[in-house]
Amino acid sequence: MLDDVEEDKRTKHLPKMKFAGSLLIIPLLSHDKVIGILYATKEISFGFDQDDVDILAGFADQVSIAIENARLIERSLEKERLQRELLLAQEMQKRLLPQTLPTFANFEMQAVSSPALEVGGDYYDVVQIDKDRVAMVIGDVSGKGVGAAFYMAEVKGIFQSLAKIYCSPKDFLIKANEALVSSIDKRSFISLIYSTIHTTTGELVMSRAGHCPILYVSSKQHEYIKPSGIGLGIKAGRIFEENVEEKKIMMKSGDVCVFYTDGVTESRSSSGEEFGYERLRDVVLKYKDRSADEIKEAIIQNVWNYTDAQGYHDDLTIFVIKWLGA
Amino acid sequence: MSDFKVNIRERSGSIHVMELKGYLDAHTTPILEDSFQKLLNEKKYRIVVNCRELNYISSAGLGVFMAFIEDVRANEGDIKMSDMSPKVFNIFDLLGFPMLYDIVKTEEEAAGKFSKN
Repeated sequence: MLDDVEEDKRTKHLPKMKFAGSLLIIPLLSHDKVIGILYATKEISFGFDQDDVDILAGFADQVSIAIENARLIERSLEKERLQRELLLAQEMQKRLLPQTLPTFANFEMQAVSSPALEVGGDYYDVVQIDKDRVAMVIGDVSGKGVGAAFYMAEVKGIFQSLAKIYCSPKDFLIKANEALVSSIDKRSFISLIYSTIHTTTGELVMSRAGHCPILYVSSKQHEYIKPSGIGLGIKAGRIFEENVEEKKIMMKSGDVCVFYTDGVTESRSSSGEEFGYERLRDVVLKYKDRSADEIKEAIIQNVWNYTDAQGYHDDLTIFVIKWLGA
Repeated sequence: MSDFKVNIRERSGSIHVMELKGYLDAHTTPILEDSFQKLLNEKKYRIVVNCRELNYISSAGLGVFMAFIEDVRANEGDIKMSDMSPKVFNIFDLLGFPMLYDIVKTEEEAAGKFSKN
């Protein structure tokens, strides 16, 4: 309280206030922070008595509460709006993944994808490229959340438009890389496997762009297949083309191919150990004689059980092909 | 909170060595970015990244190398990497980094890959 504004040394640096003889300044506090200041003036000096101070201090408290409430409401409305947007993004993204996979006489295909946050960067898809061949893709956009989800939508556009034109997995990846290098930011990349399956012969041709190796389990052997290839969006031009390789296998009755994203192998137990390639292989070996759906379920169940205590995981996708045919 | 540290030291041939230690993920990448930015601000483009004590690198961590490599190479420098554990090498290898970067066993070998001047 300044009883005599003109004489008070604390106002010397201020321009003369002709209208103010006395001045009362009350900070508006919220959680011990100053969120505003209430000024009251009177034309005469010594214009405020203790009652005035008490009344105005009470008034200042009311004002602080009102401001705080208004801010809280604003924040919760904003939060609600963002949650609605995120929910919408989640629904939109679910629609980017196949709602159902096509069925074939000679083989089964089963897939599952689970984002770590509301939206994620994992992607899988299937498209019939001609009467004898089906193309499948599995990919993982670096990062998580909304940013990754946007790139995932872009990958879907590329897959849907290029798969029928460039049926060779190698050519497809070269073209997809060309499209992505120019459009994604330089610290992001996409790892991806593109594969074609001949629906009657069981020939499976695949190329890999920086993605996790494919687990192939047959009655005689099991191996991780890792054709050479750089992730998409990292490097343009010849160096990408020269390093991308194509591998072929002929699937026989009972053979299983498992495609997955690193959310599977890099899931951690509460002690920090990764699920890893060996556990994945062991689960598939144990369930290889079951249906593709049961193999997929067994993998995801094992990953969940393994990470149980932590309750956190990366985006995670599993795609299983099981050849039934002759 | 995961722990990550970078130590920078100079060795002969105007080469700067970044020693990475700990867990490099989305939370800790700003530490690595700041270190690269510091070297680039000082026009130091001959960089060896010693990964001996690097326990893990996520995709965000890999992105940091991609963000700086063009600038470094445009200034006639390079980022070379050494001393990776098999687990960390596997992460770089899956993505195809060995086709884009010199990744060698020892820091000595990495430093030797820079032309002498």
